[in-house]
Amino acid sequence: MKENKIYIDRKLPTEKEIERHKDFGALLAAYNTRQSPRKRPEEKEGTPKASVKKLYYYVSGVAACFILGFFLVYPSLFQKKENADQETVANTETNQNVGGAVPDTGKAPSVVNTEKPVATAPKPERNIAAPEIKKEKATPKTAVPETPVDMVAEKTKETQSQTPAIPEPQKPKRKPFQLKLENEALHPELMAYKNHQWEYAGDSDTQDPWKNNVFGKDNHWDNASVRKMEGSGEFEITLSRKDGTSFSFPARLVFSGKAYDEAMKTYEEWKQKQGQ
Amino acid sequence: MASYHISESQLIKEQKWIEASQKDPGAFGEIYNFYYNRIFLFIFKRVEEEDEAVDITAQTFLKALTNIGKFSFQGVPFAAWLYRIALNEVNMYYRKDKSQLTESVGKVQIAEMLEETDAIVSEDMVKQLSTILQKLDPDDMQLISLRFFEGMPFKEVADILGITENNAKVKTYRILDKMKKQFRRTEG
Repeated sequence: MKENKIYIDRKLPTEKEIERHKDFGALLAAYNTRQSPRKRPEEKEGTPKASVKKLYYYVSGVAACFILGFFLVYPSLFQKKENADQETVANTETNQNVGGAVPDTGKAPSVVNTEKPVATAPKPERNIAAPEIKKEKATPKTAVPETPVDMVAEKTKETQSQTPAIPEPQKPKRKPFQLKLENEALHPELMAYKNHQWEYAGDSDTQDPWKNNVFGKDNHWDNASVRKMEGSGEFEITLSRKDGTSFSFPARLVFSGKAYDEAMKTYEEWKQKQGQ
Repeated sequence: MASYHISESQLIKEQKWIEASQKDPGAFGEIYNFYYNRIFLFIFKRVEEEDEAVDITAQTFLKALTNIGKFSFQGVPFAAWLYRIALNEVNMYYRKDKSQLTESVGKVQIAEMLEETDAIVSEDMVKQLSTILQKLDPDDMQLISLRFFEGMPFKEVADILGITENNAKVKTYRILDKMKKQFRRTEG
């Protein structure tokens, strides 16, 4: 018969240490998929499958960065090209004013068709000097963002330069949810993390989105935006409809399962950078 | 002491949480937060590694959440139901793993138990008791552990093990008698 193992006066984990293991989000996810939240043996660290997975995540992460980078850089490249086009046209116009030997094809120069505000400036008649156009073109387009993408990127750059504190990742204590928030890019502290979730951070039932069936199928919202609440480190999420009705509630950033570990890594790295 | 006795107001609150969780699994968070630390410690004392305790605790709460729809208050408090699931999970872990049963005991609890067996509390006796506990049958170990090491009243021990209070008492004193005899044998 096997003997029992008896530990006398064994050191027990503290409340704080136990709290670290709490992960209600993971429990709910496991419940929803009806799967065990335990790690399957093949997923344990160091096994070949785990390393292949890691490589896969790394490669897809790099690919995602490239795609994101392309979309951020592409509009500015496009604008630069337009600037160059307009400059060429202006030079052509000037050349013609000076009496240069540009053959008149009878076609309007491409600048006329440009829809950008700068380009829609009244087209100067031939034989009239066009320094004004040049002047307008001289104004750097990057200073005034024209497309919504530019505006967001500009604002992000602006806010990122202020390096705000990113909140310490927390595991959900209540039922978490995910929302596509239209102005999330304006909050670098949110952009720092991947796969984040939200949980209701208030005490009142009247504001609790779950208790008010806010995410119900019959409840359609047109917009969802987020605003940082001063001092508390929490956020206010506002869901609104085109008819003017809206629902706001305090929310906290949370992470479940692997996302928590990744967020902790990001947070530690950020903290280290701050310390330097 | 791991007694799960709670105040009446807490009991009412708990009843509301259970009803809410039966309708919406997301509401189970309140129960989870309230009981997590206790259940974790309860399991931790019965396994060797912290990671194992984390896994078994997660499994315990998953089972509780999955079956909460079937729970109805019929004399057995919800906490006893939760501890019962935890104990079953620990037993299942040992059955699967075929490893030794683990028990973490404080010296204070050992002294209390020795007093019950009319033995004089000394370092030697603590060692002797530890040796006797190592050889205890798993079912007996469970009873002794809940009663003396967790400090639960007989009513709660009975609730968790699914036996009557009287039965819990009789069984416990029978085990203690057996232990007393072993003490005498080692002394002799």
